[in-house]
Amino acid sequence: MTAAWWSGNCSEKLSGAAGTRSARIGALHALSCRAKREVVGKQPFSLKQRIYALLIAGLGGTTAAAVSFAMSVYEAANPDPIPVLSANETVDTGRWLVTIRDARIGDIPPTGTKPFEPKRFLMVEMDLDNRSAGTSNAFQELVAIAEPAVEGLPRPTYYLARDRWIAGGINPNMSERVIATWEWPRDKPLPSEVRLTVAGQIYKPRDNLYGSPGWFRNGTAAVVVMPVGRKEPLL
Amino acid sequence: MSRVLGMALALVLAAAALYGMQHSTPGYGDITSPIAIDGKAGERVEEDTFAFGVARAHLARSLRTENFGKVKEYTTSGVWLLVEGAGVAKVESLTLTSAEWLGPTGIRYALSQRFSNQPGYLVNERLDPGLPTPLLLAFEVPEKEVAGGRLLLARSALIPLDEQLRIDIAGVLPNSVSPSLTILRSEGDIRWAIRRE
Amino acid sequence: MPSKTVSERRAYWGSMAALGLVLPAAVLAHSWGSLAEWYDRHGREPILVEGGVSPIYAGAAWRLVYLKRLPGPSAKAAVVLAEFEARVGKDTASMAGMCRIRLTDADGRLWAPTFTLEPIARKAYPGIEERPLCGGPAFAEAGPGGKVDMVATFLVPHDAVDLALLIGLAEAEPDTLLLKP
Repeated sequence: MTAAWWSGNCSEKLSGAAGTRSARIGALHALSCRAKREVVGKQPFSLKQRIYALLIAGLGGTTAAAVSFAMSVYEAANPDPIPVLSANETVDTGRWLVTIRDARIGDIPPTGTKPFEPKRFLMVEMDLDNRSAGTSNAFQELVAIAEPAVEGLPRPTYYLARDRWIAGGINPNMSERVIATWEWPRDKPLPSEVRLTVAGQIYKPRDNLYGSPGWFRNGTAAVVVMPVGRKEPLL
Repeated sequence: MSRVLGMALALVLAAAALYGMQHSTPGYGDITSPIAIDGKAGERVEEDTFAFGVARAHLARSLRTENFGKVKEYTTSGVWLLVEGAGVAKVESLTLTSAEWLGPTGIRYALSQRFSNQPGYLVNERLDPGLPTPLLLAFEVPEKEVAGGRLLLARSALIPLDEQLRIDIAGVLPNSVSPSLTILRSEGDIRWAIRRE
Repeated sequence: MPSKTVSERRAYWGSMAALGLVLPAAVLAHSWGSLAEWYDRHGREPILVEGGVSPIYAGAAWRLVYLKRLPGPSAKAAVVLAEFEARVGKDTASMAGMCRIRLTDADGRLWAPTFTLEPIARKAYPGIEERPLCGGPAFAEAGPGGKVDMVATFLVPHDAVDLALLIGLAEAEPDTLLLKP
């Protein structure tokens, strides 16, 4: 590093008669200039250096932000096509492997007990494989009916096929068959085909709020289109 | 030339330090995870608010319950791990709501929710101070996740930095898996009985 | 040394020293609310009442009629039947929540009431299962000036002595009422 970089102030001559105040300042100034030259490597950064550093950091940050923004704009404009699958094809949602097996309409829910008041149910049978590190019942949020869109359709009840009873959490690496059961409104026509969306989930080791690990919704992993079977007689 | 090299090296070092710090900083989940208290089957393991002891364990391919003559069979793709023990509150009446089987691979299997009405089942019983309560726990786990696992018990899974019992039950684990076990209702202190087929 | 460096150093060490004060102060300022709340919950002693005096709590006058020990369902436990009453005031009648009732002993242990009244108590005192549950609905029904007679049963070990009834109402908490016989 050359002295010319930083010593601009030091080359200034301070005039004044010996013994006056300004002379004392001039002497001090010269002293500090010499000290500066001697310990040049340990000096705090000069204004110029700081400006350079700020410029570089600012330019770098701006470039990073611009690239990130451009990428998200590009991704939003060119979304990955959502695969459209049919029955018995496995959807990888990130956390779960979902294989929808069958959709049917009936008047007896999976418990096998016919309700006292006649009702109609849309039952979607699926295999679920939990790929996360702990038991979870988040599968109940995965599958939704996109078509036919029915206003005010109540949330489905999930039954465990093994027990013919309401399903709780599903363990990792222990694939289970469950039956999602929607009670179909009496005044709505029964579908002959359904279009189901299967939501994806993404694992974040640190979320944006607390930095805690967790699974978060991540768009739609796949759409499954399948015919709806019927178990006659129906009301 | 050497100055430029030095600066490049410093940059690389700084980046490496930042990367190391980013990846070694414990996350919120680690910082607030429960504090484990280790124990073994057959002994009283305790934390501030409750104590628990494991007495027996059973393994079965299938479980049956018999309630007032009504038999129900519970099958599984793994094995059933049944744990019999007793718990007592130390200060205040409470119910334990978090029980997990921690497999040797680090995967956690929550207490089975398939026996909602079983008397004596962990989540159905309240623990009172000074009155040890016999408790039954059932887990559904893959067979290879039984050996080397631990029983995790806590008041609640939601309280950060709470204490959690981590009990090694290897001493009471049977060597083989029964094809089927039946849980019967029973009168008296222990509200169930286990019958081997 | 040049004067500039000296002043810089002074500022540096001054700032470092200030950090030692400012950091704890910032933490304290930030967590003051939580600390106060914690103290409210844990540091407060219940309002203690001995004998038949009727104190005012949550706008009502409370009285412990009796605590009776009955044989328990097993050898190690005893049943305690508590009968208590509240004369409802204007504030009490508008309360919505249910009471949190606990039985305490000399060691400060706390027992929650049994979910249903113990059979032995129901047999010994027929009609107690008709009593209302301690809480808003019963107070509203009795109305201001009305009296609510309540009971609760507890299961306690035989070594529990100096029993007392602890009553808490969400609207009046963190204050609680400790009724000693």
